[in-house]
Amino acid sequence: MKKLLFWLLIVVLSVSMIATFALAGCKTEEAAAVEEEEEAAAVEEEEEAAAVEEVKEEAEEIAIRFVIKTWSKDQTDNYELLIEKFEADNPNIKIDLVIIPWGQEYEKFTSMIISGDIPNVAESVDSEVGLFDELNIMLPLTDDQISELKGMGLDQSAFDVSTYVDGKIYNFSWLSWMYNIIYRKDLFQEAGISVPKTTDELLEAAQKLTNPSEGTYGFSWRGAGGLSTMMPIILTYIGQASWFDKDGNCLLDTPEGIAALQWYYDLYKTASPPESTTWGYAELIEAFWAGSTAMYANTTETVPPSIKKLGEDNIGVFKYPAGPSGKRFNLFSYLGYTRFKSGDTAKDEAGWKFLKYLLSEESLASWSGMSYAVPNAKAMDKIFEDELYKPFKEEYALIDVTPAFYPYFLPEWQGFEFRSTSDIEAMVIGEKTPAEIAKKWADEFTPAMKNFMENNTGFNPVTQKME
Amino acid sequence: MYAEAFIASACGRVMMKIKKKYQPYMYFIPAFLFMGIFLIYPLFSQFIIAFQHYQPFKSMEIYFSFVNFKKMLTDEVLWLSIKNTLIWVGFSLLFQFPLGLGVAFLLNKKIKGRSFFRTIFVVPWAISPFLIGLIFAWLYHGRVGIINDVLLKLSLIKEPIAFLADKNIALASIIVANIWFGIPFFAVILLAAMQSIPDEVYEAASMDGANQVDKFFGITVPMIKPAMVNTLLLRTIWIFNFGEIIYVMTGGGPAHHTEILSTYIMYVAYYESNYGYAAAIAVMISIFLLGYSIFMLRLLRSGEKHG
Repeated sequence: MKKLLFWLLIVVLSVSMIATFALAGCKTEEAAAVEEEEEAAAVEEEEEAAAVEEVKEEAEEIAIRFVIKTWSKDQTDNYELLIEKFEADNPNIKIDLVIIPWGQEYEKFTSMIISGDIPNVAESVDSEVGLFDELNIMLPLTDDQISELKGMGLDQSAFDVSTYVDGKIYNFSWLSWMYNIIYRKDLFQEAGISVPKTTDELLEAAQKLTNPSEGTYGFSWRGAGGLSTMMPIILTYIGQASWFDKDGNCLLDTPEGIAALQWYYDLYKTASPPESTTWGYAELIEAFWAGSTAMYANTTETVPPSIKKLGEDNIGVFKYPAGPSGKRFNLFSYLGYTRFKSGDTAKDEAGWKFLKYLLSEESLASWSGMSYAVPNAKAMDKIFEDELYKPFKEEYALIDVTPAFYPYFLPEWQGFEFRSTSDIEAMVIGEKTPAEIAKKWADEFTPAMKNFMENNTGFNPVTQKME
Repeated sequence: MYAEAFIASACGRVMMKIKKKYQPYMYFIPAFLFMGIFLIYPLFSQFIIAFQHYQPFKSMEIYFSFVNFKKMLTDEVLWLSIKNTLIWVGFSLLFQFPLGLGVAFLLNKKIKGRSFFRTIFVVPWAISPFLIGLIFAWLYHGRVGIINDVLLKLSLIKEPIAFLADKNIALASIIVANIWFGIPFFAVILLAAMQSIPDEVYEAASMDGANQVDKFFGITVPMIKPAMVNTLLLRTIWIFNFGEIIYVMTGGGPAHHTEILSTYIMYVAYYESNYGYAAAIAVMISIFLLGYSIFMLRLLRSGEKHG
């Protein structure tokens, strides 16, 4: 009996176990179906959440920093207006405007960059690109972005003068600078002098207009002058747009280069106010308005204040004259827009969107009336419709002039424009001769160019392009 | 129960002792942290950079080299800047200090409108150095500046003087601007020191038959000596590093003839991108000014001992 009960218990237990497993198995299948359903619902929920997040992200504000280098209230005001419009059209992008006053722009912007305070978009000059490239902090324009810009009606010249590193645009030109000579028509007429066509005629005219006992002088530079104003003279003496020969030798200390510096020295010593060596723009323009000086070299934006002060009839503009080579050159410098790496795709995209907006026809046209040369033919036409700006317009259209550019790609170029000012000062106060200055510069740039050519096989220092 | 109370009171006593002992140091912590971050770290970092060829953002090979210091021996502009700095500091102090002392002495007198004059004399110190630089640059302007205009109208000169462009007088012209700017600082501090001298001391001296000169050199000068030494110490350091006026008026030109060490550091760092060399010059200035400070403080202490 006991045995029977024992076996009965075993059978019951076994059956119940089997039933349990069977039922469990049934339950797992059901649960799996439920889980599958739950999973599908979860995935759906996740996808919905992701979509919501995406929409949320899109709506989330992206702040980008934009650095400008300003020399006038008009410029700052116009940027503020442009930013206001951009933010209204793009509510999720906020532009933090950082304003650096012109005159301290090199020191302040360089300090910002080297301390790691890197903006997303900034106005930068071509000479800064060498430093930024060394630091590997810039974002180049992609082929698609370039095509998009080309479709926006920008002039080809804007692409030509933009700064390329290894074939890629890193700094896109937006404001071109080029110097011409602004003169007092009334003083020229009084002295019976016509507009000079050659460097010799310019020197002669300036000397004729000089009478130290009456405090009048023919010409004045901004301070002792700088490379920007001096380059057209040096190049017309050398007879080519580059400072270098095909082997990379700097041509500044050739007889032609030294003669150019001598011409500059003669003009300064015989026809410029002696105290102008340390003049800034304000002192230069004040002397011009007062009739103490009859000519100065500068860019377009200095013309309107003089017209306002002296009247359009008393102001004239002429191009840099040709020197012994008979060829004319002008130095094309520019302020461009550079985008910087942020490590955040959304910010980089917002930066590109903002850059596109700044280069749109609407934005560029807003500079009309401020005499800025912008890379858009239509906007430029509006600016230069006045006859007074004809010399500038013709230079930008490259009529009878060869454009020249700084060798900004050389690391040694960094700060040279500023360093050279001290050398030019030493020359005009008679501490160093033109030949000594020419040799000093050539000694700095010949090895620099040769070194660059060694590291960039195929670079032609005369055309300053890879061949 | 008693044991708990005993432990609690013992802990309290220990905590009080610790608090008493270390509390003063706790008060130092914010200031020490502030100085550590903004003064000691930059100084230390500058010292390290002075021995390197430093380029921002680039991974540096750490090495110890005297190249930057050797370069100083042959750098003509540096030596010109050192000479200019000594002239700049020396002549600025030579005029600022006695003129400031004189102004303080006059303002300490019971004269009519004393409060008005005291306010007026502080004005230059309240103006931004950049603005002072601009004001003086325009005063010196050859075409529209008032100084040349007056001299021409008085027929004292035939042609305008190139105050800021003539290498022989440019630095002197800027020193004049700096003298004008710095007088109020001496005047205000020395006036405060003079006002702390009790009138009884002067009355006693008068009873002993002392005249104004005796009182000035016998009472005023000895009693304001600590203030004099401190202001001289501070102003020397400030003028040494004070390049704002120069930057605005000449930018160090013509041809570095108004360059002082602080403006030259900026030139080397920014225009030559040679941060190592700039740091080396800064280290040299720091050592010089530290030595000068120690000398002046010893002078003050020796005066206190003998006094």
